[in-house]
Amino acid sequence: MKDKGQVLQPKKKLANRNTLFVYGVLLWPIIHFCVFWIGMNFNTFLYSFMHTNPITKESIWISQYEFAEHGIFSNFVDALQMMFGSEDFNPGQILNSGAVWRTLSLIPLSIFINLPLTLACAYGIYKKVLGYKLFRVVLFVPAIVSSVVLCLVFKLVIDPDFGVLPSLIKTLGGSVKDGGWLYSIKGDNPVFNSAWISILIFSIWAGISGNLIYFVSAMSKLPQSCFESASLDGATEWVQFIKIVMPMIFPTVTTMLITLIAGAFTWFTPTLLLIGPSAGNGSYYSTSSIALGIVIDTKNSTVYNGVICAYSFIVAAFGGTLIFSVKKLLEKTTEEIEY
Amino acid sequence: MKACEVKPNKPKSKCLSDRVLRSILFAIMFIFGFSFLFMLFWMVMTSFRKYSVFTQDPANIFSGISFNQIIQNYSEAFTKKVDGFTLPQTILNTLIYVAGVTVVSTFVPMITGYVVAKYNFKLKKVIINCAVITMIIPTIGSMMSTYQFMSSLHLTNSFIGVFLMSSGGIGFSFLMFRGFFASIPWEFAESGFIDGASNFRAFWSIMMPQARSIIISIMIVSFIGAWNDYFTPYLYLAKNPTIALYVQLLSINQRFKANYPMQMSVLVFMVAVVLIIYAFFSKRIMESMSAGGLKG
Repeated sequence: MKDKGQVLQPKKKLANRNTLFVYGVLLWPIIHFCVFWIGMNFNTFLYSFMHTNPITKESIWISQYEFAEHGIFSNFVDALQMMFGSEDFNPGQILNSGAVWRTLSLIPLSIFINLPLTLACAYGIYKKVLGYKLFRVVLFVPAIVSSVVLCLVFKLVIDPDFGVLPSLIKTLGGSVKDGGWLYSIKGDNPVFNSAWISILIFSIWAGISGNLIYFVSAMSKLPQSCFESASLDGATEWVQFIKIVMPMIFPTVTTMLITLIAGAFTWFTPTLLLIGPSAGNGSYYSTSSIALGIVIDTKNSTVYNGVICAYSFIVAAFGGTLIFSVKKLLEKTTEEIEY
Repeated sequence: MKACEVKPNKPKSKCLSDRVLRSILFAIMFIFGFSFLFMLFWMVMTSFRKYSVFTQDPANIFSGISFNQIIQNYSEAFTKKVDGFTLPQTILNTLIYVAGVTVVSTFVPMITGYVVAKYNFKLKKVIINCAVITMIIPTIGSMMSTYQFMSSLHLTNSFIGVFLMSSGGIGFSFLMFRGFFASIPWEFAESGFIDGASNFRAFWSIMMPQARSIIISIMIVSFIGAWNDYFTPYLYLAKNPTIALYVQLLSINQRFKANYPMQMSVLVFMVAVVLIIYAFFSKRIMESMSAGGLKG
């Protein structure tokens, strides 16, 4: 292939053309990633060493701030005190130690309740349990319906005055907590209070659909010959699940597990919608999560909050380490089965 | 567990343990399935009821319903102003938001995935690893920096700002497109090059049409995601609320927060759109979402 008026070697011209195309296409995604992921995270990290005056909006290094007690790491120390310190440190702050424990409580909930229930539903669909065609459609509904809808309907169903569930309980002679199950006050147990437990129940109820399709898809790709020979050998369907299905779909389970753990650190929408942004700190105090505190601070602040930036960095470091460790542990302890 | 005996020349009988297991699985699916259906049913019935009757007898879901009341509830839902916005205005905002986000969040990852799948260059593995890292490390703190950054550019409360943020080419969709294009033989593009096509022409005219199925699937999923998205409008489109944000504003508005029939009317409309799309494109939605669940 010879270009007009030029004596370029065809391969070099092709290489130049390809390079232009490749880097032309990748220019925007790379810029976008550098700005919105690397840049924004680096900015957060930078501001975790700074203090910004909310009135003048001027930023200085935290070590230059007159009230900083721990030099350049003052914001980190304050963030750790918020996470694990007593409530007196910053009264009314919704990013309290309870927020940390509540966020961490999402992890065992996901692993030991959400994941098994999702696997159970997926296996039921795969094994064509009675009504599986209907369940395959219905169980997917929450995945396509907005979380706003799910939250508001759930909130109304358990509303102490208008909800069908409290009405049913009262009809059967029971009683409902004053103010409803979503009501909480500052002195409540940080994790075992009715509001947070109600939110967790909502998360289980609405969270089944999210991963169901992945497990159903993974199971559908399993070779039938394994199950046929297992059946001939007399293996029950439970044994087939434990000995055949789980080992073969474990990479998918691993991926979902990692997604669930990562999701715990960015989880906030149900609290925001079920408790409501107009609820004020009082109700959020016993129901906030790490992500919710950061979201509310982001929405309400006009300047960077160095302590929140430090807090975010600690969460990212801890969360990323945890997730990466879990990923490596699962990869080392399990063997991918080829089929 | 006792093994099941298989009797020759007779249909395999389900042993007790299988029956117990199936009963448990059925019970679990029934509880969840029934609750989801009840939720939808209750939402629709509440949207039909008269407000005063609802407050007096909330548990009787069939009371206070009449054809005129249904018309009145839905008319109010479409005409009343909440924080200065009507439902039709928010629907328009939503359509603009959804259209823009769907296009940019599909096209940019698609062409990025194509290039990474089909060309060899120095940054190839770095880009793939970056996509995986973004899914592993929880960077909730970058939200603050992003918000301040967009505020400094005066791009909050702007559709352009939201489209800008959604136009990243390195993420989950990128990985899906990369996997898909990697499976398409390169010979198709080479035949185009032989005929004098440029790299972009080969992508646009030859390779992209082969990805039509996955493109449509991802666009449908993006559409649903954007239609349902609450968080991004909450932060970045407060002055141009979409329907998801409007619903939430309705639920906390002092004037309307107790008017559950009207709230349910709006929710029914919001859900009806996605359910209709789901009814027509359920297979594509399933394929798109399950494409991320790879073998095993």
